[in-house]
Amino acid sequence: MNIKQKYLDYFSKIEKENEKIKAYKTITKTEAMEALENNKNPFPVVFADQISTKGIKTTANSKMLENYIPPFDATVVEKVKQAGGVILGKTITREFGVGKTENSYGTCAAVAHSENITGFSSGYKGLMHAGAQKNGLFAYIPTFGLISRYGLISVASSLDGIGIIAKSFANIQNALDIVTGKDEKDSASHSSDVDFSHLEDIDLSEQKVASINKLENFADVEEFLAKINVPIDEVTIKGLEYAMPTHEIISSGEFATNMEKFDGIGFGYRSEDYKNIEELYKNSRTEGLGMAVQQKIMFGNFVLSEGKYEEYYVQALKARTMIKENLEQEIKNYEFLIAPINLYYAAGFNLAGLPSISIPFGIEGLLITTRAFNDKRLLEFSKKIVSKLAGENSW
Amino acid sequence: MTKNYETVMGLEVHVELKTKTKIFCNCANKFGDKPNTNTCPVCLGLPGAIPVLNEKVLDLAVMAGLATNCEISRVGKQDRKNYFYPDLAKGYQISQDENPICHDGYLDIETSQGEKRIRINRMHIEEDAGKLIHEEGLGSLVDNNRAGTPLIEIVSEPDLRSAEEVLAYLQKLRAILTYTNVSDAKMNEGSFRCDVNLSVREVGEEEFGTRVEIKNLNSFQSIQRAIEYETARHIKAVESEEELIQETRGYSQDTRKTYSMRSKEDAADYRFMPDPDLMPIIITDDKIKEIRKKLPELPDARKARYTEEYELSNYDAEQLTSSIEVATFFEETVKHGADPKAVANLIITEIFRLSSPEDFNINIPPAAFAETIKFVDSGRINLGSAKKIIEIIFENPEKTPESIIVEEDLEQINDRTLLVKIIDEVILSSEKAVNEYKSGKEKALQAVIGQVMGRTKGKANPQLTIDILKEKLG
Repeated sequence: MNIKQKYLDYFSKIEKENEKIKAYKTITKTEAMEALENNKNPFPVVFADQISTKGIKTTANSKMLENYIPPFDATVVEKVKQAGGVILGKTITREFGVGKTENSYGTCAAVAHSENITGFSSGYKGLMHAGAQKNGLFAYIPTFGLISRYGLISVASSLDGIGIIAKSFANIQNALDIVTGKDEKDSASHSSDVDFSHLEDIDLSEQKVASINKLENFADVEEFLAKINVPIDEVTIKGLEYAMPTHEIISSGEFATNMEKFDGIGFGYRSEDYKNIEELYKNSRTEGLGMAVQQKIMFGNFVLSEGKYEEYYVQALKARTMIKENLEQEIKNYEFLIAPINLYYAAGFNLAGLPSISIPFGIEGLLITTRAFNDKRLLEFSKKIVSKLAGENSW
Repeated sequence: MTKNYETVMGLEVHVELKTKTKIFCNCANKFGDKPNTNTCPVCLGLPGAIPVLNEKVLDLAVMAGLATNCEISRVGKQDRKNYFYPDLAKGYQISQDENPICHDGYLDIETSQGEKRIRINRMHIEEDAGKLIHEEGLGSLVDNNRAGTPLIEIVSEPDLRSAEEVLAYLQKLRAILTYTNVSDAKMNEGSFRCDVNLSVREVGEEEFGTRVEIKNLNSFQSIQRAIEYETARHIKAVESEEELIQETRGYSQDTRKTYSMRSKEDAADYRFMPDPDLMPIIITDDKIKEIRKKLPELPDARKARYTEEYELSNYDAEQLTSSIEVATFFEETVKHGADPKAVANLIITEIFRLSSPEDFNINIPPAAFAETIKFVDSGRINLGSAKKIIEIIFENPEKTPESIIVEEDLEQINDRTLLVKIIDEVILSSEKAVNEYKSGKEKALQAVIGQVMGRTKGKANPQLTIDILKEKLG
């Protein structure tokens, strides 16, 4: 089939159904058709509207940035474009990753809507795992630093990281090969010479796996894993019950200061109603930011304020270190930790900067983590499970 | 009975570092370009742009720390200081709250009271903000060229007791920073800025008085005047039992007074927090060793060398080594064969007069300066004419001492016969001064010499004039 026709078909389907699926904030048909010219290896992608795209509106789904067009590409966008990626559009997110939205999982909805699309979205808090599970997709959040954060509009910089969403495992592998690696523009980024497209076949029965589940409704997943000979021990991660409040305090503190740049001066929404600079700030932010975003900013400023900083923020940083150390300890004993897809776990992995993958099956789905920079082994382990799930024994 | 008071001061000095690029991006670190030409997503604070620390900034900060006898931290972090201001694109400044790069150093200063050690509490790296430009009809505009310029802030202990000490400290600090090429340290271009923390207490009292911070100090003269004004204001308040409040005050060059900017109660809560975009700073022992090796001869060492090698006085050597420009100029001139003491004298009297202490622009080539001095030594011109030549070259750098001597007719009159004739006339017409001198008033001779100089348009050989006068007047 003619490549152009294939993409025209994507767009006609998207244009017809976007109102229903609420996936796209901006559909970039013109840019996509241009990107097909002289493109030897075109593949369809979508980026969450929190990821900067040069010349294409990037709104973070907020009135604050409703007319903002970045003059630069996020590193991940740049790399994907260079590899032949054709951007179908910018997908709906929560406002600035945390606020009110018409669809919390716009990227997942876009990926689920058509064949073969790879989606890129913020891995913040592991929220994308829930969206992927809901839409029957794989979501992969690599080790913190494996993908450059440059150009991702931050919720909380130490918890931000770009994650990948796809219908097929192969698309996740391809995407990782393209977007991982050192970026001079992000000092947290790491070099990577891992070849993600060639995964080793492994013997599931030889893997060291522990379930850290404490919730109900995981029995079906555990039963399936037992059936395919995955040996599962049970361990408890001490302090994991503090992951959610710890995450809330740290992310809010970082969010509050990350959001200070939205002051109505250099870029973004500026209120028309002001008599002095104080009012310009106040009214621009009050009118330009949604209530949930404002609440998170308020909470963040509270935990950073004089007198509260030691009591909340510093305590949360200590709790984060504790959770990270406890997770790392168990990952030394067991290479893989499994859990149902739930923020209770995902937030913990996010705090520790560990990679995580969600495999959508059973009632709650399967979430797996491993030690930092052990991404390839995590993919090998997951892919084997997935192949068993599909009833394929071809490896 | 009047009590004895002392002024207690500590300084916060902000210094722009001499790096090619800004602290967190690759934009040029340059002063004076067209507004908003040296900017990028990072220094404009665009959404999603992330800072990456310029390693050169660390090197220069460590260099400055070593040159001021500081301890160097092995692990550091960078913190966000949050506040709203239109020239602050990100809404926070990246600075260092805890764990500054350098701490616990000192500087030795020399004043009329002798030598004194001033302790340095800390030295940290941070970024500069942009600049607001107020245009008639257009309102306030932001120029972000300066946003992201690397700075070090050097905080002294409250060891300073007088304006003289403050100026000596600043001169010494400036000298060290220019010697090490850490900064241009030009006050008039804003690359060397100083805030003064000041309080007043009775001599012998251990408790500090109420402290104020004085800002907007753009020259050494402003600093001196602001300190004098504030000290007087504090003493007056203490004596009349008025309450002083802890506050930040600005200094106005127009009124030569300080004024209240904001009180402690109005001070913002900066909500410092570690910047999660940036990684921890690690400084290895090897790095410190490597930088220590690069340390040039520092002002104190050079001063000692000058007193020894050129037999200059402590005071002269201190003055000459107070900036790298002056020291280099001095040495270059001496290399051209001029007498070191004569060079020192003429620099301290003339060059310092012609160039501001904030900005040593020495608009005369060392060769021309040396030649001028040699002309004085050989008797071709006198010192007054030498000063005139230097002044003319400062204004017209294309001129040479030789051409000026001809143009301005500055050849010294060494002809004894001619001078005797002129002096005879002067003695006749200056009866009063002559009589005063004869009756023992030594000073009266100056008036007579002045007359001789007047008649010769300043060209008479001064020594010869004095000799002849003394012969004639006994």
